[in-house]
Amino acid sequence: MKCSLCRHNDAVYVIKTVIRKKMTELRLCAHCIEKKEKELGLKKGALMYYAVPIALTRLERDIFPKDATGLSCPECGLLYSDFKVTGQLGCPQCYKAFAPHLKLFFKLTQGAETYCGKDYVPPDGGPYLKYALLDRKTIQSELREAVKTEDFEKAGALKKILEAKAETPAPRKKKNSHEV
Amino acid sequence: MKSEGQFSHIILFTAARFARNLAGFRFCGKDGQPQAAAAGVEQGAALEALSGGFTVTAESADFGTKRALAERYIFEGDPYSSAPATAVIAKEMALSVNDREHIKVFAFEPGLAPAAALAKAKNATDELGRKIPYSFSRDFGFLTAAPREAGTGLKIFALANLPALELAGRTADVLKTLPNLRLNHTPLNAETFALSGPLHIISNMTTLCAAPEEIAAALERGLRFLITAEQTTRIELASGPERIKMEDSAFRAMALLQNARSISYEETAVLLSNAMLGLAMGYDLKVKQDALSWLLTACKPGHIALACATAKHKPTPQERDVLRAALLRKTLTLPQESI
Repeated sequence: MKCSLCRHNDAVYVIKTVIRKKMTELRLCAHCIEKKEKELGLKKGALMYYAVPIALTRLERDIFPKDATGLSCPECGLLYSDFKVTGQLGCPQCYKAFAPHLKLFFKLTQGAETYCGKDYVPPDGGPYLKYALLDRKTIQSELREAVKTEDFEKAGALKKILEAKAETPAPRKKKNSHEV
Repeated sequence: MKSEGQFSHIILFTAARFARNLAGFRFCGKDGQPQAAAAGVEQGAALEALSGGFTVTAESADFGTKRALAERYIFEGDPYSSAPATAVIAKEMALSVNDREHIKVFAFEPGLAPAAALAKAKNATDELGRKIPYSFSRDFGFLTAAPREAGTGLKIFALANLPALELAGRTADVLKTLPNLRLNHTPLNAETFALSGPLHIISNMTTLCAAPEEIAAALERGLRFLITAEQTTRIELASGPERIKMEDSAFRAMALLQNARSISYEETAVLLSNAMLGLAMGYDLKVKQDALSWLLTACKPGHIALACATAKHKPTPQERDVLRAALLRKTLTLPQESI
């Protein structure tokens, strides 16, 4: 795409502005963006902070295709269209639900589709370890529920967690201290 | 932050941050509010796992504290949100809970020290990971609410002070090369600060496809490039006709800082940066680098508001400017040995 001003060089940056609720785009080459800065009396490079590189706007169109707007996460119910607005996922399952789109996003932004680092080995304790993070009351109610449903493996694990919690002193806290 | 680190007159500090979420829980919501499944997580329990290594000094429950923590790069959520985010701070280490991600571990180092900051943050994160299970996937690595941070969950950044490049009008040209090293740059406090200026935050762009050590090495390469450019420009300016301009900017900055009666943070930051340049050039400004570095943080709007707010009255922006000027006068006119 050619530059909106000189109509000769390839556009490298796009400046998006909203005027009377209508989005307008100004596509500029590196030469014209500097010229525009001089015209507006701005320091060299000042407009660059406003400009979005063209590659990124293309990327936005590619990773947020229209046919994916109805897509949602089966676990937390997050809509793909909501993710598009906030850029925040709701739960680990969202990664599975939106995997093809996220892989494309990673390929375009980070140069790779998948993680290539070391594997993480979670600590021993199996599926019940997460209960260690809950408060005592919640663990006690979970324990009662486990006994009621005769899930003795879970009940045993929860009992051990409660015993460990009773031995650990509560963390020291100073609320709203001004010494940040 | 003490100024004893390597190249601390150009790189004021280096920080590393790992973001982690707990396995089996939903992520924090977009406003930082923990979702239903995670609402039962007792923050103290997560902190318990770190007992011994950290000291709790602040709970970011109110707006003022959250804002001050944001100015120290520890809190990243919305300070107006009532979400129960917590921050734990110890010497050059910090931990935040339920602020966008379940857990974030920070390590700060003075000067140029990406490897040291990374090692500290990584040790604490790994230690915690041996006690509580993190959300992890083979395809995407450590899962985060913001997918741009998935993979290693690492953000490694540094505050660069480039006054000579700014004086010579070369900042934009030098910073333009950073994306080639997969690095981002933003002016300090981009929301209120001038679009360009002498102080810039330099951070990593990629988190997924490189090891944390490689990311830290890329940041170090970028920062060393900036240091060389800044030092070369300082020598050029000092040995050429611009020498008087540089000397004038340093002494003028000190005079303004010591005598201002009302001053904005934007102006303060530029003047402090010029004074730091003067100190690095060996001018007798009768001030220590430590005092200037401390003022760069202490004069931020949230810090001034937090220090001076009372239960009945919170200072307005105009009052903050007056209070800031008073703090500057008081600090810079004290004998420097006492700071």
